[in-house]
Amino acid sequence: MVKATGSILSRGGLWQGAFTAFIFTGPIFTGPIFTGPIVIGPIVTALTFSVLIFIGLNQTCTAQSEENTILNRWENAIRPILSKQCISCHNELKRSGQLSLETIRGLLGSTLSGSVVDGKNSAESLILKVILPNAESHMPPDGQLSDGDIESLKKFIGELVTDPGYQAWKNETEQSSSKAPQNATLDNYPAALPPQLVIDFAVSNKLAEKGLTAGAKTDDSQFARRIYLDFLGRTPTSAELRLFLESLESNKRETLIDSLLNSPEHAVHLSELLHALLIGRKDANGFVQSEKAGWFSYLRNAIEKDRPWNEVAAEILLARPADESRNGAVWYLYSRKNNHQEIAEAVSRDFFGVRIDCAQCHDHPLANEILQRHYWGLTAFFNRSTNTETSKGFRLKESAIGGFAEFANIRGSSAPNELVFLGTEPIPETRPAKDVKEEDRDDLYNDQGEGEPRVPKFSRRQQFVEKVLTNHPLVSQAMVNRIWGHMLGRGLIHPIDAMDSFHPASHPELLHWLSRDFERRGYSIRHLLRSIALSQTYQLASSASQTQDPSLFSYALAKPLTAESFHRSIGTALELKNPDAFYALENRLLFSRIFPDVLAEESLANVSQGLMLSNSPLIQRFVSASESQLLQRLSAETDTAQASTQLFLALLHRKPDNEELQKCLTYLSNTSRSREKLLEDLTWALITSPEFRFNH
Amino acid sequence: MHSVEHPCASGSPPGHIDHRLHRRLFLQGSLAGAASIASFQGLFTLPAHAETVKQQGKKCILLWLCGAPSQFETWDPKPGRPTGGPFGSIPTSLPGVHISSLMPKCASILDKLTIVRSMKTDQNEHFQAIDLLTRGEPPRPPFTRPLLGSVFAQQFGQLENPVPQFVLLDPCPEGNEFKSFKASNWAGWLGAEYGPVRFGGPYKIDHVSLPEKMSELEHADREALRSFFSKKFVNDHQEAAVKSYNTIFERVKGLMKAAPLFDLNALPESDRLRYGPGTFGLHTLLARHLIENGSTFVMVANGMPWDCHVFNHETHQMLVPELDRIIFELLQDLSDRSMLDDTLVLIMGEFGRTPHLNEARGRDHYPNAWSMAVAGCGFKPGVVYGATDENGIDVAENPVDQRRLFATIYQALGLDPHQTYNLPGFPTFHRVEKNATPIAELLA
Repeated sequence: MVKATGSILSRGGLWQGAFTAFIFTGPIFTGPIFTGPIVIGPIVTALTFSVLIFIGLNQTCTAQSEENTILNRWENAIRPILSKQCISCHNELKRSGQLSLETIRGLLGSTLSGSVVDGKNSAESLILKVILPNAESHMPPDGQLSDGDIESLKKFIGELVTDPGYQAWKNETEQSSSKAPQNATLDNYPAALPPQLVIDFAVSNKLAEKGLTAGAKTDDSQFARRIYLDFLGRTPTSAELRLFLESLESNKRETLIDSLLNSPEHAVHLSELLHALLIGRKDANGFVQSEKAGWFSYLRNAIEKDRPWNEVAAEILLARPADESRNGAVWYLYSRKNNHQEIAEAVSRDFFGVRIDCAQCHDHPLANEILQRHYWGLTAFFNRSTNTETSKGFRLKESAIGGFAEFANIRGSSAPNELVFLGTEPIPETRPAKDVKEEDRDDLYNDQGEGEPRVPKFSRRQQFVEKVLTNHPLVSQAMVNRIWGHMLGRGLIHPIDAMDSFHPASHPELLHWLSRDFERRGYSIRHLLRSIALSQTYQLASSASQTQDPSLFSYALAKPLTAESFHRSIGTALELKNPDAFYALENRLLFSRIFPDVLAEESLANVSQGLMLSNSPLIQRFVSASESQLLQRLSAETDTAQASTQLFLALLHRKPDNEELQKCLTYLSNTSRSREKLLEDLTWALITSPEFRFNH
Repeated sequence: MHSVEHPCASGSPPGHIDHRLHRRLFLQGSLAGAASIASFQGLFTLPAHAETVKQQGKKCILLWLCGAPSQFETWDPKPGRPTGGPFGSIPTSLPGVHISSLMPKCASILDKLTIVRSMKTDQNEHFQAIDLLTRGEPPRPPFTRPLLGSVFAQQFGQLENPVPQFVLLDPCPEGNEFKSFKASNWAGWLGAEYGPVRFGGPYKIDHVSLPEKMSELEHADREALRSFFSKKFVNDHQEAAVKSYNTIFERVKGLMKAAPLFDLNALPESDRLRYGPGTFGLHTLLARHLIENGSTFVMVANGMPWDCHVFNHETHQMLVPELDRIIFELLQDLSDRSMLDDTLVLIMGEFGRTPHLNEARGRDHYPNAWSMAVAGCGFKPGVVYGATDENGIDVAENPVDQRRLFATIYQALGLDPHQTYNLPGFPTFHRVEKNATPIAELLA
């Protein structure tokens, strides 16, 4: 039955043909006739409809008469209304607001504003609201449907939602919008497929659904800058870039990817990124303490050896390092200074990708699966732990008793803080009776040998790592989403710390597949980085003449450099004589204070950044011929065109276009100032331009 | 439907590339050493400007009581009722009107204030309610409606004024949900140049002096160069992050000139003693100072101390007297300086608090019936509008949602609440949607 109606719909052309034929033969019809949307004068409308309905009724097909009426009315009465002022934007190809009004299926489909037809209360349908005069977000933007048209639409929709065929149409629309590929779903994809192919497939499928295609690919120069920034946290030197551009290897991009991933600079960069996310940049004191605790070297080592992320996570959260080389792992918990709630909020966000801050006082108002008991449950896993210093270094000792509490919600009822977190069952634990004072006995503990604090036989931290963290699906998903966000400029779930039911993924099946692949490949971050870098999606160019939905990844997003990357890229580009001075701690802290964002939901600049770049002594001192070999060299260059071109190549990795070259030459021709000073100005202008500031 | 006036003769919205072109041409001129910075104001008196000039002069200070204060402990006390809490009420300078006993100073000047006791909105979650009460409408992605402050900056602000037109004073960068709100796009479809300049913590701004051995002209020439080289990239990339990064440099020069304004130590100590101690008071003083000296909209946020899910009475006992003092001093000062007719003072949070206490002796979120206060520009002083029932559970008369509030605010400012924005390619957006009407009883 559905198929029959479908074919009637697709013969829309037939009806239009009959309609047009009638117009030509009948003397009563006047008014302009177009080949596109047919425009009918209002007087003619009523006559047309009555005639055509007559035709429609006489030419009923094999389907039941009830359905035919609906379809006839759609074709002959409603489509013409919509053709007048709506189809120019809401057609199958353009789909403004993700709505097509060319078919009933389109009308019933899911759009950017949800469903425009309300199946339960048809008079409240969104489409009927927006076409009213003076409606909010009025449609069409520059026109108005007549009262008669509005009435017709209202009546039609009322009949549509009660029509027997309605549910079938609705199911059709839901099926087509939820499944990404036509036939196979990503779950059917063999596990052995390279992830980069799966990524490209998922992304291009979703684009195709919307009638869009991906943009152009990066050229080698753009690619090199991007991958150096993403993997090493700095732009390539001129020599490095030249080497890459001149290489004749057919798979030179892959070679570059691998060589960068194996470079020690990569470990430094990624560990800085993880540090900014896991602990956050603090002041000088905080930085020095983290360094002393071995936190940075721990992270660097983990990246260098491509240690499985699940093992690193377990090590960090258990905080009982097997040997001194792993001491740094303790710092994550230790740095929170026994603030157990802060620990819970951090652990949830950093390892599970979910913010639970809201759930302190009540169940999460927006994401139903996040409950208050999860907040207090997670806190309970850590609330027997306290910082201690031993001869072996920082540790977290854990008590075998205590940590029992009740938490109240805003309705006034209270509940015990069981050992439970998202997606798990509570871990059984004997709760002491209300007024019983627990006795802390030695036999509740196992000794650990010299220097190490004794460990409770029932250790809540250990329970957490073994029963909650291990194999928890959110752990792999959180890292996958974060790495994707780092590489592509936006998580598959955005923002990256909101992987809850209120924030659906843009490509849910892809995220699921990549998470399983991440697990299959031993939680290897390097494998993940490599796969994403090899995809076509990652290698798209970034320029776009119009805003497109960034979650479609049809073009590369311009990503602001992190403070460290910006700092390092300026240093690299300038070819510093005194890099140590430039990278002194106080200067790094200045950059991280002024440019604090890391994988932020929305990264909007503020004027203190402009002030710092324009007026800080740091920038003034180092963008100078006395500190920069590049500037010293170019100041000696008498050919100003040569100097300008070299400057562009060194800083932006491209030659200036004619307009830019002219501007440089004009600027440099100013005889009232020294060549040196003018070049400094030029350099400043380029390194503070968005082209330098952003990874694109 | 008629369009919003724009100061640019080309008729394009201020964020449009045409507008920037004019500025670029000016700056190119400065490279030849022809124009000096001081004279650039003259280049922008285009004929179409005259229309907007007459609207200028309107300003606003928003005391943003984030987290939401309790109406029971401020403007709508219910003494003796089970929901009333321990603080009684006191008579005010308006016969028959009582407010919380925690606000004796405001009580003495209630004839200068306009109180709305019948706010009724439908958002009880912070982030969404903050959005709703500062922008006036629920979100409709992917379109971002500008904040009230950005609308002000666009309508009444002068882009070329060195003093930033929209300022957010905020001592507390980490403010729970307010933090993510602060990270969001405030100026929305009006464009990044109408976003706020944010200052918090220290009262001085860093890096505001010219670098050593650099003249103002050289500084400007260098910035013109940067702006030139940024053009193509900004054109080819649509991300808001890119646009906003480029825009901030346009403000650097202005801020360097305006920086001394932010130095509170330059103000008389007596002023600082009257408003302070505490950043809320001092920031309100700073807001007055900025408004007096050319800013248009200053939002004074003070973290989220009002969100009393725990120990409501104790917290309000600490916070309300401070608020009382701050409002009193601000209105006195504005009145003394004859600024009250042109300055709107908005005092509100994003909802109210529950009539009944929870287990932690706190009040929770309550958008169902709450209060806010206004003074100045266009509002009729000494009016108490709307009422709640005897226990403060529901609105008994004249419910006001955020649309009617915004409609009234716009009307008070001389703006047509139903004017549409000129946004080619966007759906139709009005300043206030659903034809919400201004409340005549509140308007002077």
